[in-house]
Parts: sequence; C-alpha cells; structure tokens
Amino acid sequence: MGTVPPSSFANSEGRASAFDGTALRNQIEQLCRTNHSASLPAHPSGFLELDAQLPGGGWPVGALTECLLDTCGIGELSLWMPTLRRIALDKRHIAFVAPPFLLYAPALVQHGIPLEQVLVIDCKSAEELLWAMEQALRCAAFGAVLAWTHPTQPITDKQLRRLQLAAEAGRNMGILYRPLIAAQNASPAALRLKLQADASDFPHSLHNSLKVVIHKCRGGRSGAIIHCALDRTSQAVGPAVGLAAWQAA
Amino acid sequence: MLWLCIYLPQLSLEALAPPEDHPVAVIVAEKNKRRIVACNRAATDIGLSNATLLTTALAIYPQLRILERNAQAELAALKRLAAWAYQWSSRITWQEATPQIGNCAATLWLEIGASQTLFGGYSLLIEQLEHSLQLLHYTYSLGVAPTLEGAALLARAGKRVLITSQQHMLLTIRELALVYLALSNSTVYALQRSGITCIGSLLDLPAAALARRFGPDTTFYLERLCGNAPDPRPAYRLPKRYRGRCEFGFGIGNVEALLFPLQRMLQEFCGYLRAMDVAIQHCILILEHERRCVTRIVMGLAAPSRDAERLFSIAREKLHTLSLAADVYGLRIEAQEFTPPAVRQRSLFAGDAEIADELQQVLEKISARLGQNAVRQLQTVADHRPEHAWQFIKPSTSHSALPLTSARPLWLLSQPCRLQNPPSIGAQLERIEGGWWSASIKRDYYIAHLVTGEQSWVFFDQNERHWYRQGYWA
Repeated sequence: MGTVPPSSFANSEGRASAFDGTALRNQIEQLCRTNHSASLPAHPSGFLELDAQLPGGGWPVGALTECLLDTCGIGELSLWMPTLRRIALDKRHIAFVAPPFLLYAPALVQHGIPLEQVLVIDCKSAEELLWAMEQALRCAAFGAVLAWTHPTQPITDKQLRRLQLAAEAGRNMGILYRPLIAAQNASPAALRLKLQADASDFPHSLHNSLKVVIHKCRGGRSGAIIHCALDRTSQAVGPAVGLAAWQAA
Repeated sequence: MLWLCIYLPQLSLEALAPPEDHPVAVIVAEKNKRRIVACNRAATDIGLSNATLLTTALAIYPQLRILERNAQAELAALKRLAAWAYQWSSRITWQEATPQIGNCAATLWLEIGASQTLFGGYSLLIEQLEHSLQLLHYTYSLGVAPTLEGAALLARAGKRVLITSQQHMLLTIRELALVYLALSNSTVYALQRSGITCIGSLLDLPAAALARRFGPDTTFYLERLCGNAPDPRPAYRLPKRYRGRCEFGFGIGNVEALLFPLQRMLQEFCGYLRAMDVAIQHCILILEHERRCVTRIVMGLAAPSRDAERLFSIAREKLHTLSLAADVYGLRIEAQEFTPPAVRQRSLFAGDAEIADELQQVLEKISARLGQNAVRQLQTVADHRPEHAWQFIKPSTSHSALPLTSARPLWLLSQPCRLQNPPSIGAQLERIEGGWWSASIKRDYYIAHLVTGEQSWVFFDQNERHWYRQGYWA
C-alpha cells in the first residue's frame, strides 16, 4: 500500500474541515486499482503454450490486440472464447462491433457465454466503427470489445492509437480483426497476432488447431509460433453436460 | 419575505443570438430614431454602447450585424428561466424589459425567505443558485432585499450585500445614484437638474409635491421601493407540460452554432424537472425553419434521467448525424410524459449500479449516433431450424437459456449459400427436419473443410437435392 500524505487528513490551518467523501473514495479506489493491476495485468488465454509466451501470462488487459487474418472461419473466434467466457461470467459485457457474419446465439450459449452479456453493434462506415469501438472501450461496464474492419478501408496510426488509449482508460480488452496485409505497417497495438489455418490439421473434425504467430508483443518476444488446439464447440463431454456445467457456474 | 432579484441587462441580445466574435447590436425604434439597446463585447470594443443611435453606429462600423428587438423571444427566455428558477423557490415573478427606461433589461425575482431552511441558509442557497445560473451563460447581477423594487435596485447598482431588514435596506440605498431607479430618463434628468443627486435626498422630498411634479406613478414606485405600499404581482405557475422555446434573430446553418443555445435550454429544462421532482425518458427537440417547417428529433433515454449533460451528449450525437436541410430560426424542447426520478445514493465504492448506469449512458450515446437499432442483443428461440433458432432483441437484462442439441458454428450466413460443387465433407453431424407449419426443411448437416483452411457448416437439402453452406466454424 502506498503512503498517504499527512496533509490530506490533518488540516494544516487547524480549521475543522468538512469530511470530503469524494476525495477519500477516489483514494481508496486508486489503491484498490493499483493492487488489482499488480496481480491481474492479463487474462489467461486458456492455452498454456500461448500464456507462456505472453507477458503477464495471458491476453493483455487495458490494451489493443490486433488479429491479422485473411480468411474467416479458421477459429479466429474460438481462440478468444475461454477468455470471453470468463469475462461474461464476471458480469462484464462483451461488444461485437460490425461482425462480418451473423453471430450465432446458440453457438455462444454452447461456448458458455450468457447472452445477456453480449451486445452486437452494427455500423455503416469505418468512422462509425472506430467511434463505437472507442466509446465501448472507454466504458468500464465492458470487459472486451471485438471489432472487424472492412478489408478495403485502411486505418491510420492515429486512429489505432486512440483505440489503444481508450482501452487503457477503460481497462478493457480491445480486439481488432484486420487483414493480413496490415502486418506490413507499424501499429501502436500492444499485441499483434497473425492467425493462419494449420496445415497439419485433422481433416473433417471439429477439433483442429490454429497457427498463431506473435507478430508484435509489447514487453515480450515476438516471432513465436504457437499451435493452439481449438475446441470449436466446447462440447467435448456432450451437450447436456456442457450446459449443466455452465448453469452451475 | 425576502426577494432575490436576477437582473438580466443583456437579455434582449442573449435571447436572440449565441455569442460570437462579430459585433452584434439589438435596436429599438422610437420616434423615428433607431437606437441600440444591447450590444455584445465585440461591439463595445469598437466604441458602441447602449443608447448609441443606429446611424452613428453604422458610421463607426458599417458591417455591424443589426437585430430588431424581439419581445416575444425575451418573454420565451424569461419563461424558461422562471421554470428553471422554480427549483429554488415557489414564488417567482418577473418583469419584462421596458425600453422607455434606459436599456432593455429584464428582471426575475425569487422569494427566498421560505426556502432558506431547506437549502441550509441564505448564503448556501445563493451560492448553489449562482453556480447553476453560471451554467446558463447569461449576463446577470444579483440583489437581495425585503422588497421587490429594492432587490432590483441593488441588483442594478451591483451591490452584492445580503440585506434582510427594511431599515438596513433604506440605509444602503440612500447613497445610490438616481440612475439606478426604475424611473424614466426624463424624470431622472429633471431631478438631477434640480440638484438631487442621490436616492436619499429624493426620499426626503415631500411625497405630495413629487406627485404633483412627476405624476403619482413616481411616488407609488418610491413607496413600493421602501416597503410602504404593497407590491402585488402575479406569481409564475409551473406548467404541467414543458415547452421551452428559443428564437434566433437570424438563421443558423451549422450544427456547432446550435449547441450553445441547446446546452442552455437543456440546463433550464433539467431545472424544471428538478422543480417538478420528476425525470424524463423521452423528449422532443424541434428545430424551426422558415415558413413553419420543422425538424423533429425524438430523444430517448434508456432509463429516466434529469441530467443535462447526459441529454446534451445524446442531442449532440443526434444533431451530428442530421444534415440540416435549411437554416434554423428557433429551437424548442417539449416534454409531457414524466416519470418519478430514480435517485441513487452514492456508495463508497463504485458499485454495480454505477457501472450499469455508465453502460446505459454509452448505449444511449451509440444508438443516438448509429441509429435506434444499431445496438442489439441476441436471444435463442426454441426452433429446430437453425436460421430460426435465434433472434435480435433490444438490450435487456433478463434472458432464458434453452437446452441445445448439437454443435453449432459461431458464424451464421444470413442466407444459406448454394454450392456449385459437392464439398469435401467430414462426418455427418445430424439430420434436421421440421417447420412443417411454414417452411418445411429436411437437411443433412456436415462439416466441410476448405483448401484455404476454413471449416464451414454445410448441409445437403433432401428436398431440393442441393448442397448449401450455412455457417463457419470460427
């Protein structure tokens, strides 16, 4: 715990000062926050190999993460599902901003995400997307904000920096899906991942793996390649048991 | 009884125009001469003042923007202000500007003697009121005295003293100059030429002689000023429906310029809500154009509120999405459905309620800019057909989860996409049959693996004998 300057409690002029509840409250909140951040700077990703590579042992909280990929449907959402499930069960909201397809509600339930914590935000343009993502990132009620940029609309360095700052301000996880070609440009995002379908895949089964290349990692080493074995339905033990486990949680 | 007077010397200008850097003056016509009654800072800087003749002013600065005095707009502003002031006092009265007496200043009085205990004393009450008044950005001065005219006199003279007794007031006003009295210019001039310079020497004159010389109105005014005659005035009554209007002296073509008067109006509106002790969930903002054309903007809140900042942020987003078709000549705020306010105790730690409140505000802001249906939640529906097993709903907190059957992909295509060639499929997942009551289906579902690495959710339609893709295993 930090030391509290004596002046904030004893009035130097000797006058009786009114009890300032707001100042005390802010101070306590700040102390709680610093303790919190010391023990939990990151959310465990649910993949041991990946956690080992990431500083803090998981996905960075209060930062922007870029997922660079060219094809949808390779497991880009399943990669985040263990973390999103934790966030949702922690009673924080998850925003999906301009998803490229319909987010299928029954599948989210199968992944153990309570639907009342999920919000889908539709946008008509890139400006709206960036604005909505920033608003959501600044709000403490959200735990994670996922957004999909249109491949043809480029995002400037300044816009990315705004998102990174918004995520820091709201202590939120910002996840931005961009085309693979964006890897050529620098970005202020704390973590940048290249996602590719794994060639050494079990064909025709729902248990396959995703190749995650750490392109940039603030406070860690880049260049690591991790094969994440994904469970795309979290139904390994059968549907009834999976649902019961979620309801119990 | 103790009256607090809010003296508004620039109201005829401030009711008509948002502040700007260009010199602006409000004029009145009297006896075929046109004279300035109020002008902004930029105009005083170039040497114009109240009582300057228009011809002189135009000789000094030909580009001067001239507005005709609009008594209706001033009255509308006074009404808004009176509704705002009702939160501090239950007795409000006002006097509109009278151009015969010097400048075009309006006056608003609040009876604060009955309110002092509620707000913890006079000084605390005045402090709170003044803090709130500053947010409205009017030029004002305050005066407190036991009589209406006395309070107005002190406010005009700029005497910021709290006078609660009649004797104290009489002592204070004796030294003041005659120009602060609400008498016509000619009366004040005649008195000054007779060697009377301060109010004290005027009050010492015999009343009968004064009445003979200057008319009974003058002596009656002096009696009301000193509290020797009653001063009954109609008290303002709070309307059951709110209708705040602001008129501009000229058309405003860009949204940014509308924000200043809008913010003031919303502050006044929220003062009215506090006075009524209610909150709103819906109100209507109306932009008035020429020829009675209007643009109506419905402002909806997720939860009842009376926070001006919150309303303003929604209104700003709504206005920014709007492309103004024509210049705006007036703004109106209307509300008639009120709800009890949700007043929350502040907790020591930021609790769930505060976070939920913050979420509401963000969602309101996003839907104000992106459209009413931009923010949605998902819900599962009891139906075997995959495309009917879910739906969008408005954000809410209650949900019921339905038991699920088999594995489902995270991405669903809005329409199943027909495949030209049979896909390379894996094991069969399930057969889905159902919907005999509307669109009957009979499908065999498989996982299909694409060369590029995607895994998709495909089905073979037994009725049509064709392959379709319906989703991706993201």
